Amino acid sequence: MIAHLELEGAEKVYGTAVRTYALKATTLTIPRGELVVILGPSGSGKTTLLNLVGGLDRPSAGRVAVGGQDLQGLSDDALCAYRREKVGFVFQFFNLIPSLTAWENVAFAAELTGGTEGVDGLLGAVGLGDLGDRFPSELSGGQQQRVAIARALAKRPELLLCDEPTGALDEESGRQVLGLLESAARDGGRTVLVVTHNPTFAAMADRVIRLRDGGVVGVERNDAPQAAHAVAW
Amino acid sequence: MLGRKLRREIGRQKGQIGAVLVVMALGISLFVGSYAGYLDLDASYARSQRELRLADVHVDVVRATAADVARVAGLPGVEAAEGRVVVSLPLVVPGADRADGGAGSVKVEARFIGLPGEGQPDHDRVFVQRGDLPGADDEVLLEFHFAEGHRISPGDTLEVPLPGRTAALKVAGIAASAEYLWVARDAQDFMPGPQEFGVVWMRRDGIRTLAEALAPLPPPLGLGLALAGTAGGSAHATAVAAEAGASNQVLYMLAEGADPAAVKAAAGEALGEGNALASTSRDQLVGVRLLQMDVDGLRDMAGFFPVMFLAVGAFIVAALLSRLVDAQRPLIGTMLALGVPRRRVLGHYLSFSLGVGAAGSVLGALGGIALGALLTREYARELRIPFVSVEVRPGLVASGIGIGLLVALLAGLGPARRAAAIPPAEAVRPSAPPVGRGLTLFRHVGAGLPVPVRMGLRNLVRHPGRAAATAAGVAASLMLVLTTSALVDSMDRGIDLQFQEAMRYDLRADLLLPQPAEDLGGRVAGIPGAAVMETVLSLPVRLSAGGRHQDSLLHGVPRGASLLRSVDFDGVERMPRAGGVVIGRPVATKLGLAVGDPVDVSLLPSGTPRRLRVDAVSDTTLGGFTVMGLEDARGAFGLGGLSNTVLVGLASPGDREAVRAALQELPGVLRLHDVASVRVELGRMMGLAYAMVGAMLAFSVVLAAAILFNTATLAILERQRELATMRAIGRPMGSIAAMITFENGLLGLLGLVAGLPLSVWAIREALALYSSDLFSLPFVLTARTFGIAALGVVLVLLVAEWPGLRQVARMNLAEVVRSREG
Repeated sequence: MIAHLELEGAEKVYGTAVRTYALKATTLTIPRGELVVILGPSGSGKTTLLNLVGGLDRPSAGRVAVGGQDLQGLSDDALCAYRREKVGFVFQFFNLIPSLTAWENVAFAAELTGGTEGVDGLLGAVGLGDLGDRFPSELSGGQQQRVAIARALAKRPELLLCDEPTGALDEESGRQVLGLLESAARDGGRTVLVVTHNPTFAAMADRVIRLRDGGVVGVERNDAPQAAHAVAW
Repeated sequence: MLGRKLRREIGRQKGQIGAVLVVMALGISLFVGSYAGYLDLDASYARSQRELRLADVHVDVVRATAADVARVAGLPGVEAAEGRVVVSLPLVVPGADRADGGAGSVKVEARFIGLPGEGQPDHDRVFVQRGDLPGADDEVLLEFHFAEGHRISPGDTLEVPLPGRTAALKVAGIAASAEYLWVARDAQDFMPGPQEFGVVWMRRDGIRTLAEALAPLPPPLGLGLALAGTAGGSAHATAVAAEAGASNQVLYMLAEGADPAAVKAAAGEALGEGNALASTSRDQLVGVRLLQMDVDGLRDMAGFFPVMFLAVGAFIVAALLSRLVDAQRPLIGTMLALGVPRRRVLGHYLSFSLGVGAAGSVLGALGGIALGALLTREYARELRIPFVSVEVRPGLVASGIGIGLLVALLAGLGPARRAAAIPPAEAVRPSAPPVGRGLTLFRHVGAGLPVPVRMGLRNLVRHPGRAAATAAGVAASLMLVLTTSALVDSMDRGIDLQFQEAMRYDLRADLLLPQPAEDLGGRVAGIPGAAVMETVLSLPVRLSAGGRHQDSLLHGVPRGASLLRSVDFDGVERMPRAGGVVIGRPVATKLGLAVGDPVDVSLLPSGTPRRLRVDAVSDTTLGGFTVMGLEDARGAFGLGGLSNTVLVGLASPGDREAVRAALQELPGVLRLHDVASVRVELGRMMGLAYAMVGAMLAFSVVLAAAILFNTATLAILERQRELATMRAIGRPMGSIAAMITFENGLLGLLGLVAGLPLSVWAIREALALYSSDLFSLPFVLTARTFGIAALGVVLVLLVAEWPGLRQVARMNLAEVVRSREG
């Protein structure tokens, strides 16, 4: 097993006088190509963990390494390059650029790491081949999230980070999105981290990390993950 | 609780709120300060006139005896009357320092005004600032500007050249007078420097002694009273001054409730048929009128600039509040859903603008009180106003604060009403699609261009209101900066036109009386260094058409004259043909005259009208004169072969001193007019104007920067989430800055295109505001000025992006990307 993500005593603390631990010292290893579900109630540190791994934030202490590269010492520019070349993000509220069509939103990201040749294929893969010229305001929430996934994949990232990707979606749309994330891991060989508070998603994961009060309370290996479409909602 | 929310929101937008406060405070400060300055100066002038008993009416007369004056004093409606002598005589200031840097004795035209043997006159008293009133007949009191211009102190000695000798006059004191707070020779020559003209008070008997010595001068060569029009500027005045007990000016005060017109008619009768030459009410005295125009300028400024500042302040407040309402749609929905009444929501958002307006107004009103006092003190110091009234006017301060609050209320009303009208269900949903109708068109915007460029173009279309506001901000900024810059260009061009195209001579000598032109020319042509010489006639005339009249100075110039020409603002020569005249534009406007129209021209004060034809209309920056062919003028006014002015062009600037000295020594020269000195004097006076325009320009730049800073910052902050997402997916800050710069550049371009015609309009309005029959400026808008202003505005716009971009660079990506679009 080759470790893709490594956290060694990584913690995130806010405040100086009154110290608030968003993430207590955490040590984790996640192999390449796994679909990992991070579970926990609100305030448990899920998103903080995701932000540290995604280079949106820096640890207050400890080490965070992705693909053998330490992130905590990187400059802003280097972190930006890391996010550009290695990470794809899927946000709860999609964060599409309203003035660009679905195709253009994906192309906007694809341009960052190469050309736009694969954009049509990506939109086709997320089931929106015919809706590429629609603006976000013309798409449903599920469709917008699928565009966001296509946008994240357009950069061919080795790491896909999804923060409550189904949080704003209905069940049917949610299942479609989970299917796409599953496919990104299984078929694309990417490491996919999905943050959620929905415990039923654990069934589709290769690995489940449980957090509470800013600390990891359990890491479980799932040798027989269910298909996304079979996950109870 | 809502109040706490409000305070925190204000605290979070320190930069923008600070900009609004500065703009609002400046606007109110300018309003309160300029208006207080206007009221204080107006009151100070009125008080000075009252304390020094400036006469209600000045009547220039041929000759008035003590009995004539007594008759006027006894008229119903006249409170008191007094006769005096006013006569212009050459005065030599030995070893004077000249404004042009030269030194040596200077001959100036001095207006001698008679004083009683002891003490002050009953009317037109003087305010002695240094020294004393003349204690002997050979002592004089000098008007302050003249004394300061030559650095003369009490105890110094001046000379009056008399036939065969000079009279030495001792300076007893330095004084100010209500009539000459602004020293004007007459309406045509209203800015003479101390090197040309000065006002001197002397005991009546002292003037008589000088006049007696001058009386043997040649008689007025058939001119009769024709040249007696300007106060004291004639041989006739000298003759009257030489006569004991006679006056050539009668001053009187009106009794309370008197009808000025009826008293004027009665005084005319009392003085005898044809004796009264001109009757001038106090407010029409040239110096008083000019001061009033100056102080009225402050009043206009109290209207014009604050309106601009407050309009910009309102614009920014509305933009800030609009953004706040947009950002807080879910919150507003929540408040409404919780049962908060709509009027409370309205009041909550209105109190935001009112809070900002109140703070800006109070700061501005305090600043305005200080500014008003400063303005009054500086004016009073510069003009040596004897009696200064400065007071804090609570009503004015309250008005300033009230106006600020009203502006803030109006600015906030639109966004606040929009907030109160939001349906709760709609407000708690994410914001409406950015573009509803027109999506099909929208998707074609920027088709085929790179995605970031396409995005920039669509952002303009997507938020037309915001784009229009930014473009309007740029247009308004350009207008502000360009209007003030163009005023400087216009002033420069106006001065160039005056001295390089119209008055092209270096020296001009005005004679007390016309002399045979051939003799005069012969004497001047023999002066070494006088390369070009032209003799002309300069006559005070009255132009009449359609029952309206306008006094002017008429120059009879020789055919092909090169030293004195009439031109238009394009620099094109406009000279008359035989039987025609060229009139100044203010005269043409006032009399409703156009090229080809007939106009009656009569010598002042009571010559026979001659009907002439308007051949052209000329433009001059300072004053305005009428031009006629020399031979035509001689024929029309019976002055065959005579000239009373000689113009000289120097061979080289090094000849100036020698030629000046030689011209001063010519017999009959009343005064010497040196263009170099005039330009220096004008430069000094224009310095004040430049300082004023400079201050306006500085204000304009502050305003422009405030507008651009706010529009650029808001445009960025409104899109924080979008920009944060771009950064999160790995787009470098430089690339994001380039996209925003591209958008702002487009908006800047739109603003410049819209701002150009707006600027042209504003420049023309500003020029009209500053133009009068005494002063007018050409419209000048150079490509260079436009280029610099446009570049400046665009640069400020780009620099103004910086705080917003810095905020984007520093924003907490992790937090912003998780936020829900509000």
